[in-house]
Amino acid sequence: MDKILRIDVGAEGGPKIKLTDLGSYAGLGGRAMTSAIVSKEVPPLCHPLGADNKFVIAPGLLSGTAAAMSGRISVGCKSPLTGGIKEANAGGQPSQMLARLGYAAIVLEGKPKDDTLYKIFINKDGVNIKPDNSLKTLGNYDVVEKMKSEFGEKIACISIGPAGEMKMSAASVACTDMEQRPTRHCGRGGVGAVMGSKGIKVIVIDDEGTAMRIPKDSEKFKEANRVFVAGLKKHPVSGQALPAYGTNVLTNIVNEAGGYPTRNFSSGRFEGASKISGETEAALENERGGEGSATHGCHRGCIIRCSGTFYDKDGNYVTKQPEYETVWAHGGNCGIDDLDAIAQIDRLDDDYGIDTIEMGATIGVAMEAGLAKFGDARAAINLVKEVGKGTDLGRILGNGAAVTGKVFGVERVPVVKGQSMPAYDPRTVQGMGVTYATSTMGADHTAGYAVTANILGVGGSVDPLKPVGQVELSRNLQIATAAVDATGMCIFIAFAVLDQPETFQALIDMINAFYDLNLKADDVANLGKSILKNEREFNKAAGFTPQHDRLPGYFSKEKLPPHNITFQVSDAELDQLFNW
Amino acid sequence: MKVTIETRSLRSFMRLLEEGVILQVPEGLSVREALVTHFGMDPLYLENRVRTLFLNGKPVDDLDNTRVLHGSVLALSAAMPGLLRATMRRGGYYAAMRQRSDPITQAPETGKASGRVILKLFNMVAQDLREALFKKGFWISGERFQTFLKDQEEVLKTVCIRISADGSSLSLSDLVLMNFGKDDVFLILISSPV
Repeated sequence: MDKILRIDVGAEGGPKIKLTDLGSYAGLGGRAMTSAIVSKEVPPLCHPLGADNKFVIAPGLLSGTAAAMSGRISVGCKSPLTGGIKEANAGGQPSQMLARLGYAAIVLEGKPKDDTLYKIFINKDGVNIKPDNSLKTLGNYDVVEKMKSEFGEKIACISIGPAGEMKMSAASVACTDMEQRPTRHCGRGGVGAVMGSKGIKVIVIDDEGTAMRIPKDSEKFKEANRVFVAGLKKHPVSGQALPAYGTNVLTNIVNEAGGYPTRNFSSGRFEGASKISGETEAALENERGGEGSATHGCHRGCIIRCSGTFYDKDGNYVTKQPEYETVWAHGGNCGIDDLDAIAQIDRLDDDYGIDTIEMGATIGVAMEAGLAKFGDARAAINLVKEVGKGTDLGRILGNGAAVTGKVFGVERVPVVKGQSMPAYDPRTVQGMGVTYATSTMGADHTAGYAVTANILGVGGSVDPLKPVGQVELSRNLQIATAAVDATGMCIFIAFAVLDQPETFQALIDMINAFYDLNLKADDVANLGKSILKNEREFNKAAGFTPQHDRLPGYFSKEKLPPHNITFQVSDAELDQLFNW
Repeated sequence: MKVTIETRSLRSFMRLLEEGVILQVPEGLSVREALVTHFGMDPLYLENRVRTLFLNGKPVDDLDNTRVLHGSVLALSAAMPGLLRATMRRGGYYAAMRQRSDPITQAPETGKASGRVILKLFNMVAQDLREALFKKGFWISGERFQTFLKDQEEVLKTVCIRISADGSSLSLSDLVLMNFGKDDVFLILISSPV
């Protein structure tokens, strides 16, 4: 990965390609790369859909290598949803393929002269951009089918659906999986709208004729990868629970804890949880599609295989296995306990190119506003279809929960910095509330995921009962997660890394062996800190103040059943998060 | 009423475990005593496999000083993904990120009267323990059993081999139509793979 592809979509005579070396971006990947470019090159006060914003795509540091789980791709820009910096990432095939073609980043910049839609084709021979208005208004599934018929079956695609073309703030960017289906989405923050604002419908990648990236020290790399894989396989989460049930294994647990946001965050328990749990979903998939249908990877080199395939009653493909956040957003959050309906909505979300979390939260708000009744699956499906069609109502909904709440006069709108909260009520998991409040990304569960702070050596010891502990733990998780997001590694490696120091060391050894470095745990923490620092400074310059690092007031006032608790971390404590 | 079902697929009845089944247990036992001594769980299994344990919706760290009382809901899970797993697991480093609630300090009861607890089993734990629990039998509210039978009738038609109620054979459709009223049903499930 020794070059950056820059495409000026506003150039005279149509988009112009420029290849540059890495310059000051050398050694960066994934989120580190996207946030570095955005914070250095994008004016923080620019309009997210204007000429000054840039849309950055970056494979992770280990993408394109033989490292297991290294297929995450990051996209970054100024977010039209939050108004701040944004990084969203996804699995699928594009990351590995782009990395093998040698691209450390693709940067779309400028503003198109007209509304012509373009497709970009990248292979070992170079880059080709062509107008293709036949792609207009197509869903992601149809776009990919057209690209396959034009470029063959071995491609990967990065595309937007109609929501991205309409520049909706909930629009996602789709990446194709191993079956060339557009099921893996950089979902959050309206990144699809920014890609749409650049007039690019799809980037097609063909890595034929390329080889895996070669480590500086192949033997050490191979050994580190072996230890890493063994660690993932032996761990009960990455080796057993996730392959068997997917991320939706969390439904029963979070529900039991009383932290499962139900009917637009009005309760922490959903009476229909067992009907949409990971256990039930996996059993249904295996029953309809045959044993093994509930266990599938999203990209080559994935050994956790937390995904699966969802079939209808007649055995026809509907969508990939809807994961925990999706099942929650369109399920319990809307009072819906029908997996077939949820899968149908997931398919629509993927096809239109919409973030499932944002869309589910938005429908929850719409239901509270009286646009439909909680539990009415048919009505929920119809609301999502409004978005796809781009009706007046659909355009409101497609711009997310905050806009919808404003338009329909709803007070209970679960957003931070304009972005919807995911599937954990912050009143039950207060530390998650700290992350929602303070993350540079807006309410984001992955921002402070689960790499062990004590292994990274940045946590120290904290008193678990004192308020400052919540903030410090969230801070350490955010630092660690930012670092993992730079590697291209799936965040689900975190469970093995959390419990097994040798697995964490194997990850560092892989990076060291690949790049001939001598990183230590502290260096990994410093990488995370530098990413967050870039992002935080961008947000400050974009006008964010401490007042933006807050949960909506009702979380501190409304008691959440069944435990009847409120969010209790003080503003003063939240303001300490970035003081390291 | 005692219902016995011989089935080709115990998996089809897993939802019962997720929603909770009723077991009798002497009141006032510690969680560990209830699970190991009374229910017969292998102590090593409890230590190593059951990574998250809730009593009445609150995570339990101290299995020896937390008491199970009549009406308690006990839920067991294996290791799970995500921040929740890190914060909810027993004795975890991230336990600080839980809700701020008082630790469970229910006073020990010494009466040892027979109480009823609801036991929920999730994910790998449900998979591991289902056969033994189904074979041993458990109570379930008649109303909930009826709802389950109606919801799952199509699937159950394909997996149920023999059904008896209080010793008399009956068909699945007869069982589905049965009115249990407010009574609980004692259910035994026997695996009979083809």
